[in-house]
Amino acid sequence: MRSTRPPAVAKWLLQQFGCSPSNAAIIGDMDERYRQGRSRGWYWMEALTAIVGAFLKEVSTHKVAAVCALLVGWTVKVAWLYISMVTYILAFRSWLLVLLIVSVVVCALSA
Amino acid sequence: MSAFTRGFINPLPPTKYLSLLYLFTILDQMTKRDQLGNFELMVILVLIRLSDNAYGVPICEELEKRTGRDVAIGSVYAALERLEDKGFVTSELGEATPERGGRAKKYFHVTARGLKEVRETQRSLVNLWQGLPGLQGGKA
Repeated sequence: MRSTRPPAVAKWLLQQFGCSPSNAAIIGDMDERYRQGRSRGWYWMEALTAIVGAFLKEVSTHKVAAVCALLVGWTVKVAWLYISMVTYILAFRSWLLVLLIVSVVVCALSA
Repeated sequence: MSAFTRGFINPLPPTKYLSLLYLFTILDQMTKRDQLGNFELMVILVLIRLSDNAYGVPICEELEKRTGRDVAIGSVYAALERLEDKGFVTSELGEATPERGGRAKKYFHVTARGLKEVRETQRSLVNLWQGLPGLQGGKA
């Protein structure tokens, strides 16, 4: 027999990541339809659609903030890469070891 | 070397991020049009049909019944929010029930401006429909 309680993880994800102003009403409607006989798979699909749709709308509403976030992420990524390299060089003072560590990181990322 | 590793070592140049900003601007302008989109028109017609009982669940059920296709609740709310931004629809919170987990219903109503826009869209569509021999007698 099917549980009358909707999937807890899907509901939690929607509560945490759903950024629509009508998020509470969306969850209420999903719960109501689930109790009318919809499947767990349906609930998951609805939750994911609501999260992705609201995210895209939010990004298009706050374009400048979204581009700034990407720029900050890009800067942090580059800075982290170069700081790590310099730290390894200063710590070990061995180019051979640095080369080995970089090779291992590159291989791990390509796998 | 995988695409992920290449992206990690050679990140996108800042000019690519400006291209993204341009893309978002186009998307924003598309959604800010004052005309009714196809799905928005369907939603607003369902709101008129449901009158005082227009909240998420009946709207989805009516849309599925009339179109014969499944609709996602998130998509319906996205269309309703766009309609609200354009001033075609207003909303108010209603009562909470146990089967909704204690969450309030959100009722939607069509405004006078929304009704005017629907009539104009209907007039345009009827004018476009007339005199098309390939579409007479209900054949597509």
